[in-house]
Amino acid sequence: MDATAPLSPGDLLPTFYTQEYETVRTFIEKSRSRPGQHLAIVGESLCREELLRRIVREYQEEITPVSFLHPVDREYPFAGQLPDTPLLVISNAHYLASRTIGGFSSLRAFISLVAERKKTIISSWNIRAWDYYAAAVNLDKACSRTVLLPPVPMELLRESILSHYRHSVTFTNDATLKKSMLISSNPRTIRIPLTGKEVKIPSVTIDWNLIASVFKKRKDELTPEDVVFSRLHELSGGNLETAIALWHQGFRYPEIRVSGIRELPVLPDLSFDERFILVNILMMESLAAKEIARISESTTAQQDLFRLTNEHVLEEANGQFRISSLMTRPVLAYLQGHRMVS
Amino acid sequence: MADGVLASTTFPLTVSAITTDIIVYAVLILIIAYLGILLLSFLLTRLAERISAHRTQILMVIPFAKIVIYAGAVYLIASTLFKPDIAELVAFFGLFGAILAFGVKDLFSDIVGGLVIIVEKPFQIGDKITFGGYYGEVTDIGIRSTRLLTPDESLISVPNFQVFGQSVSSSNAGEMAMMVVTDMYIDGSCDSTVALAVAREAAVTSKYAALGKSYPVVVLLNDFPFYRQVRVKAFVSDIRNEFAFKSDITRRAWDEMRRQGIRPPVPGAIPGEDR
Repeated sequence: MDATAPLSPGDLLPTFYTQEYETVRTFIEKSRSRPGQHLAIVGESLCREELLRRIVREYQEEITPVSFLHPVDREYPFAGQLPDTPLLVISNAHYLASRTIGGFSSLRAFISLVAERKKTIISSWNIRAWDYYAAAVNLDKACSRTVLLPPVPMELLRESILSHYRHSVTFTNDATLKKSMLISSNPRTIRIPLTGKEVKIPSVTIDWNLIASVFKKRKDELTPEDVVFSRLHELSGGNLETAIALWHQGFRYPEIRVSGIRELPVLPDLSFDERFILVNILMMESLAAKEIARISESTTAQQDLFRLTNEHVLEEANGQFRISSLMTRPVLAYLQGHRMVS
Repeated sequence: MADGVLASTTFPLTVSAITTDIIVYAVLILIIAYLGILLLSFLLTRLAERISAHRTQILMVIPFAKIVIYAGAVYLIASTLFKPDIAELVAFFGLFGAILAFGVKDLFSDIVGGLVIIVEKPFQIGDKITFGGYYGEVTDIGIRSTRLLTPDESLISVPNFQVFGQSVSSSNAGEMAMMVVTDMYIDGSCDSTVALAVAREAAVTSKYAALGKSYPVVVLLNDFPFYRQVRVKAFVSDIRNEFAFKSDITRRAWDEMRRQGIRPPVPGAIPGEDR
């Protein structure tokens, strides 16, 4: 296997989100006797689509999959174009609307379709788009069941990444250890200007990390592998795509060093239009320049996209802009800080 | 006996001769205090802009710091001049307070008013407040006065005593998001359902909007004899974009309403008649 190739859906472990998978299976089984229900799978793209892919594979005889790849046009006769089958799986359903006046018509048609109770529907949504549509058109009220995919736990992250390597990977902990005391007192001497007097100010420091570590594994009990995955998990916040990008950044076959897993980049200061572009791409996961210009209604959208790409906040592939994997978490934190996403 | 007791409770204040050195020292202390406040204000303001979520909390440190630094400077100068022990210092500040109270009582009231504003927090730096006919963002709560920056960039200084003594309305009370009310007027014969739907979508799709459970969007219709008022109540994500948000809703809503055949009221027209 190519060690530097990015992971893709289908490469992940069968133990992935077992509980959530069972919830969806139970929903499908129950829908046979009680059709017309709607289940929404909400989460980060890689995990969400993997879960959906498994469902489609298991129930391929009864399921009709529908996938949206870009925002649906406001004039698109949504309901009329859907296949006439009792069990429908719609992936990337967040493309059913766009953040423009009149941009919710297809989403409203979808909500009406759900309310008709003629079909059983399983839909998948980006979590930021889901929150936005819940606030804008009460989408959350149009669901019988919602499966919210939590951040990937550390053990699953470890298994997912290591399952890619036939030969063993060498882990090296070359990070400097910090000597720490629970309570340390370092009185500081301050000289009062012009008087010549010196005053000692008591300064007591409590190491909260050390207190927290009492409840975890002790540092010296952790193997280099533990340290690598703990750092990957901490930096990525359980976002699989970010964790994989961090892994590839530090991995030099067959070795990965703790020092090779670098901190996530810092976001440059952004204009309001640039922030709004990021909000929309974060919600939709990927957008073409034309769609971004239409949604943002900004005359400088092209320049903004150029700058954001130049700063490595966005990356472009096949004319579609998406937030680069290493930037997902900093972008989210930045936009949450400005109350532009919840 | 009584005279003896009184005699033993007086404080002989040791006053140093005021030399050039002491004057230079006092001036230097005041300059350092002033520069220290400027530097601290600059750094905290920069920090507040970087950490937007805690802007008001960080900015509120500035008035506290000003009082502490100035009090420290006064203490350092006073201790050089008078070389007091604790009892003398208490007596000095008592006398100083009395002089302040009688001589410069307005200034004293302003200082007390400022302290009360800082402690009680009827508003904070960064809040949008309405006071005495003025509306604007609180840019500073000083020792003597509070400063407001109005929407047309005028800086209004209001003595703290007046702010403390009168009703003040704060639009956001320390929050960064704030409700903004936008009114639009449509012809009485137009379809108000369409107008309400468009107005709501203009608010929820605006780039300035804050949305979520704590930030609901409400659209209201008021009927008047010759026109109808569409009122949108929505939260802006940053109070500094209040007017941009209002303008964005109005412009985008009217563009769409015109496309959908909604007209503004015509002055002097009779409702229901063709125009």
